[in-house]
Amino acid sequence: MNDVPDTGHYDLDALAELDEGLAPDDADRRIRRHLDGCPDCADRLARVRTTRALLTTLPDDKIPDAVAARIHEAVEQSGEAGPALTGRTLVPAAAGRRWWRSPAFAGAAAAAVVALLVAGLVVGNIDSRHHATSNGTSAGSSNGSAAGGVDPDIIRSAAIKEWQTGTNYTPASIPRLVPHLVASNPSGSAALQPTPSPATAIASPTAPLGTVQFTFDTMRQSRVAVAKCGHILADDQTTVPLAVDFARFQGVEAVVVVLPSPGQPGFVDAFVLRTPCSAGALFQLYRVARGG
Amino acid sequence: MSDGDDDRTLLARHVAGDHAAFAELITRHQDRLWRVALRTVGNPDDAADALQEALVSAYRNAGSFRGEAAVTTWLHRIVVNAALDIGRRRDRHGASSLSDQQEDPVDVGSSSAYDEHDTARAVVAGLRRLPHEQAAAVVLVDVEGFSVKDAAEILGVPEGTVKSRCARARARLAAVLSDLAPDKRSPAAAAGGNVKDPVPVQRQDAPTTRDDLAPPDDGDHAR
Repeated sequence: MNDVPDTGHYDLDALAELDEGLAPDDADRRIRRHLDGCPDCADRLARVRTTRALLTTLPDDKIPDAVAARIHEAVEQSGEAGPALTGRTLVPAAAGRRWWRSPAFAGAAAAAVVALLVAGLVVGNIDSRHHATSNGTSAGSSNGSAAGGVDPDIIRSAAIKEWQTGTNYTPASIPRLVPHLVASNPSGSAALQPTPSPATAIASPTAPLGTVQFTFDTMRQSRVAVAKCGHILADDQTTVPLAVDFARFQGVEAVVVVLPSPGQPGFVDAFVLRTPCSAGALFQLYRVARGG
Repeated sequence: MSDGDDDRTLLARHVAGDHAAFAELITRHQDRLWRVALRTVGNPDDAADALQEALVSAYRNAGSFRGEAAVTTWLHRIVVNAALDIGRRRDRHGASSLSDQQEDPVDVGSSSAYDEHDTARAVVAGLRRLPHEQAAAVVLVDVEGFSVKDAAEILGVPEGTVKSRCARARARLAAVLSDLAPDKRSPAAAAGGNVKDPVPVQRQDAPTTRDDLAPPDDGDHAR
């Protein structure tokens, strides 16, 4: 920033430095004298000042929700106090017969238990919630199955792996974590802890699936409701979820329902429900490899 | 740049083992940190990486905070350093060498009107053409309103360097933005060319069947 350049004018760099107060005193005086008589350079200086003014008016954009969630998750995971995405979700354990440990079992209606035993097919990890639900379901069913009128979903739903990990899923973690919901077995605090439920957990078992909805609470109380939710999501009457996790997604309560991918045995479809399960439910759908 | 005692208290609580405190601290400053990262590196993906890398580092190294600067200054320093590192790495690999790009005219859209929205887009697009160091300086001082002194502390350079970088950045932006004037807009813009919009587009809900779903998909769907 010395003498006037050969062009007879100062360029934007020189004028920006002048405006910032970076020009030495003698150069500052010389340029300002030149500006008094040179409209072109004065115009360029005005452009620099306009640019500075424009920069101050940029909108105060907010961080996108997905980025914020991802960062909070990463920070949480980096802590020693226990990440939300590991441990509880992924630790496999020997399958337990939860039903006999469940406080709810003792209070289940005897008739419901009998109904399932008569069906002769209910074994293993079907808990009291399903006994109670089966009572309501079979009592109201008009299209009973070959199993003595018992809703076939009572049988099918026995294989659903029910989790309650509390995991805060993100789009990035879904492909990594969902396969474990299918491959591992829920236990301990990761397993869904059932609560006593009324026999009417499924309000309208015989109603067309297009007209019913299952709240998260209903699905917690009834594995059959989870099975029927699977029908809704798969848009067929036979597809049953492989697993369900009552958890969170990007900080919001959500239920992850995992279904087999139609025609793609190497994949599963993870439906992230943020509203009650119904034909109009809002969900996000992720197709992920079974192997993660 | 004062952040009061609350930030320091939160950081102290975090160092003492209260892990929720750091989340609260992040929540308080994340929008501004995001903007600085985004406008320094020029694209959302790199900005997210920089912000994540920086805040995880801050989380782990909070005990090294000596309290000589404001907590916000400390956080911004870590974020800007991460953003500059990522920007330099990108440049070295030639993925997005913004500073080497030719100064082709900024196309600000198809509308004949020269409005504030176009202006903001053009300014943001202009920032993407700056060398990352210049972008960081001018974003801190002109966009986010940090003093030159605080910006120097964040950038770890003398105040004179901050002023010089800001001046060069403004000069370069002025050259780019001169095409904004309605009578100087590019032929492409006048003919209705596409907008160079750096803002990521949020996917809209759209009916999709599972049959045409390619794994993985992250769209919202409603049946």
